[in-house]
Amino acid sequence: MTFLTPLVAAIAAGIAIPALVALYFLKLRRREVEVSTTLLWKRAIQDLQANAPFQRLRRNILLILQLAALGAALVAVGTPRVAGREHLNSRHIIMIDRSASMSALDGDESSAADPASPRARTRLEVSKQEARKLVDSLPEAGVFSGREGSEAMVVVFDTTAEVRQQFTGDKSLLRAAIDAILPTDAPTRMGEAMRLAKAHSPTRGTVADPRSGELMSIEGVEAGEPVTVHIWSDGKVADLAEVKPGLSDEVVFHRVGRPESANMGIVGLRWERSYEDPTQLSIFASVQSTFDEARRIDVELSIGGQIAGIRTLELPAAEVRTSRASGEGPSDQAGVIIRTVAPANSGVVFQVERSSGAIAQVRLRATNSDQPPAGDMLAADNSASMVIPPARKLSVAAVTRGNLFLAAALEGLPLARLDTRTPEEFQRTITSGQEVGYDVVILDSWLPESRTPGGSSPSLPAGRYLILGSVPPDLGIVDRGMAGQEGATPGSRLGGEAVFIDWMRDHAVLRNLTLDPVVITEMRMVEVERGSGAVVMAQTSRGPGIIDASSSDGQWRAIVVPFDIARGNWAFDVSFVVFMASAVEYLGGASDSGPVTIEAGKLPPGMVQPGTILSDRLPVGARDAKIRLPASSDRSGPSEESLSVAPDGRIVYGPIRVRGLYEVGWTGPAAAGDSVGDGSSRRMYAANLLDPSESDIGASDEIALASRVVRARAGSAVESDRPLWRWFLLAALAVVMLEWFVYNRKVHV
Amino acid sequence: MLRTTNSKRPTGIEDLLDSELIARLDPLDLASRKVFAGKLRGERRSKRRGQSVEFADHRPYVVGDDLRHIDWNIFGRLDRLFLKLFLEEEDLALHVVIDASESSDCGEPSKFAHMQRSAMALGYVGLVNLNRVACTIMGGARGGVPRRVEGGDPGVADEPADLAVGPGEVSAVRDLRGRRRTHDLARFICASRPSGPLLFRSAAERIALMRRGKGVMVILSDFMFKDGYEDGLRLLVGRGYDVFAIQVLSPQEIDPSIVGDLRLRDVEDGDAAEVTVSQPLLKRYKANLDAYTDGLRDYCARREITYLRISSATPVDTLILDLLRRKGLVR
Repeated sequence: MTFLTPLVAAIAAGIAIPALVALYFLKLRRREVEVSTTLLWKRAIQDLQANAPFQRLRRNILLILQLAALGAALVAVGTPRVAGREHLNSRHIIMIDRSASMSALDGDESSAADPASPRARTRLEVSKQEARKLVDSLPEAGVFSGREGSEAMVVVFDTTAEVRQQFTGDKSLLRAAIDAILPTDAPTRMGEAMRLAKAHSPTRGTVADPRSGELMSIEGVEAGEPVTVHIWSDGKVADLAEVKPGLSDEVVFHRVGRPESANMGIVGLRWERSYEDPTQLSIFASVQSTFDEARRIDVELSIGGQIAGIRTLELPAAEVRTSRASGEGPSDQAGVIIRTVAPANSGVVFQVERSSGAIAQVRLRATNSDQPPAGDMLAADNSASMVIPPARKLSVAAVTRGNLFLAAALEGLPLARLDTRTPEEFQRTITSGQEVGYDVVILDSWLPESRTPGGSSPSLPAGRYLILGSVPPDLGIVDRGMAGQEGATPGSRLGGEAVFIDWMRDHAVLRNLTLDPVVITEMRMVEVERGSGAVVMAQTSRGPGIIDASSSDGQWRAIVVPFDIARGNWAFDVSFVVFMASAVEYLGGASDSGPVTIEAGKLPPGMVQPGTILSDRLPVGARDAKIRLPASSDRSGPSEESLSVAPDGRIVYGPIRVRGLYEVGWTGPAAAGDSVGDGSSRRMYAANLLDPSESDIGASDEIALASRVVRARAGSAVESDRPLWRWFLLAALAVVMLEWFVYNRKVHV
Repeated sequence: MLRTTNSKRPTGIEDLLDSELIARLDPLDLASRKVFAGKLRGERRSKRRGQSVEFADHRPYVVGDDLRHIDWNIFGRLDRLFLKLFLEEEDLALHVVIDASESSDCGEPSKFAHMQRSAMALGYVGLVNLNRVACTIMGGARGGVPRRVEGGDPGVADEPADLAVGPGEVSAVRDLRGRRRTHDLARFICASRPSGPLLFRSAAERIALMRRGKGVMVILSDFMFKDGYEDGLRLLVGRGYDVFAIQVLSPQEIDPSIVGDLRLRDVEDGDAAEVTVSQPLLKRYKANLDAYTDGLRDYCARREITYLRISSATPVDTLILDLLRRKGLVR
């Protein structure tokens, strides 16, 4: 036990104890009463004193009790505490990981073996408990001591990070902030959390000039008091290399969970409709296991709540390597055995015939049982769902004066309808104000005339266009003319020949293409206006070759190929056919307006990852949009939130916290693929974890930050630094009560 | 126990005896367990042969006897001279002693007032039955006595107002007889008020020296004497008086109702006792009081003193008509 303010207590004792003793020696001021005789009273007092045992002691026991009470109160004034770990810094940042892997049920190292046991606690629960212990142990500002108490800040992170409580010394606020942390199903990123944590310290420091002694401030140095950063995590952090703590800050890594915990989970999920027969639906699920023995599990597919298929999956054993830690860290941790696991992967494919849209769910379970796989620690990745739009064949109009290559390329596509229209017919349709009536319109070296003479309104009606050999005037693309022709931009190379030098290989249209052999003999040179929203998909040696353009209001979208495909060898190349097919599919599919996800761009449409922001575009005119959150028992709060719809129909919600199905409903027009009912339209999104590193839940013993490697603190439990003054004050109260009892016994009994 | 707050003192017989009580006292007469020789002829049968009508005995004639008492009938029959003896009817001496120490002036109702009324009532009974009545007040102080006690008796002299009587001294009125002297007795009793301490032994000594003959002595006191009651009582009983000791205690003394941390001061000698009143202390006090009165009763019983303990709340008529009648003082 140590004292924070021993001097104050000693001074108080020096004053109070002699005062009490002196007071005790003062005579009791008695009321004077005249009696006829004191004869009998004196005898009674003598008798009483003679009869009462320990009379003198009894007289003094009050003094002893009062001294005891006073002593306890004085000890309380001294602010005693049980010395726990001595904290170096007085400012602490408590960073708690709430990602999906923190829901693994191996928080308690003692009772961790069986995730089904009712005593199993999640890592997050244990983290919160230990963080509370840390908060309790922080030294408080003593009432009588001049020293300041410690302050702490609570940061919670998964993919994103949030400051839950700014620096404060108020422990109840800190405890409340810690208690309010709920688990999410998002993957782990720590970089933002560390940036938030570092944001507290000013980047401007004051140093004294060594020559003149003047103080001068220098920008860019780390200043301010160093802090202790406490990280409660399982160490499975994707972006550890980006986590840069301050140079003078102390980083304490409290590992939760066990390194040998194993898990299996769905790490990939994808659906695909057969190109030839869109009613044929293939669903691929990729499963990862970190168990060190081969396991056999069932993978269950249910569509619309009905079990549509069960596949038994043999998962090979994960490769577990152990290595001795390098002697880099503190000497007592040099011999720690580091365990690395290379997870085993396997996949399963379901073939289903289904033309309508569906909500499909894939679930892992123990063989021939409805239970989750035995020993599985994390439930979040045992199921994943997805939203599959209905199968749809596109109707395509080719507006051409006759193009052999085009006709040949389109002929083989599995389309619902392919009409070949002359420009005049198409112009008449536009001018009459009729709807275009096709999913995709291919304009071959022709552009319709502006509907209004001034040309202010777009020349193209709303729709999806593949524009070949011409440049529409109002898409943010500036036509610079044919290369080598008169009027070409001064300085441009003559000759007109161009080759593709770069293209977006991960774009849906160009994904499987090789454009290297393509030579364009007469290149039309264009420029993309800055800020127009048009994206250059493929760059030729003479400027943009393929451009993805769309209007800002989402009315129409176009892929523009400015040069004439007949001038060059592309039309003869197989990549042209593939391009045409992909472009038509992309444009037609794009009309579904699949969700645009940030960071998780590789997910199929209709799927988002927890931790990211759901951002999508509803049809123009949608209003009263609401998002219904997935039904989850452990999540309180509103199950429905309203969304504000931007004028262009864009909605943003998030970041998404938990996996499950999110349903956006609105009043107004529905786009293709949306379900309509009760006067409102609905669109579904599935949020799934699908993160291989998050599913590998074995806790790490060290985290390799950008600037240093931090080992888990041995015995992750926080050693409490408990203040004891309350107990001493209670003891003083108890002694005072006892003294009162004794006094009353003396008087009345 | 506490000093009497109502300081109204009796000023005359009407304060001491009301007419109702007088009416109930009138049929009463004093009695004594012993038959004493009186000094004057009275209405009481005496030990001495006297001149009453009641025959007592015969004895042979000796020269010098009064010839009028010779029983001539016997002389006629036996031819011998016998003298006829008659029982003498004589008066009874009643001596009332009041303790006027300051401790008597305590209690609610006041012990002293009660003693005054009791003494007056007994004196009245004695006077109306033609007994000799004396009253002695031990200690205290004398207020102004308006005039000399009639009868020229030297027992009471005119005294200046509020003359303190010494702690071992007494003031007395003696040889009152007949209903006419009631007022004198009342005046004497009213003129006294309690004051100062009392040395019971020396007061008793004076009383014993002062009194003449034999009779009934009633001592009204609380008998709370720090130097003890034994010597005084022995002196008083030693001269063949039929002594009644009536211990008058206030209700507050019998059952104290004080609480708290107190400094108890003796009204007589200023002696202080610091007490923290508690249940055990009160229990112990009552036990001591009982032991004290029991000791007094035992002492009295051993010396043929009739002992009676009363509260100052006991009405005077109850005391006279009931308690003392049972004890045989009145009939």
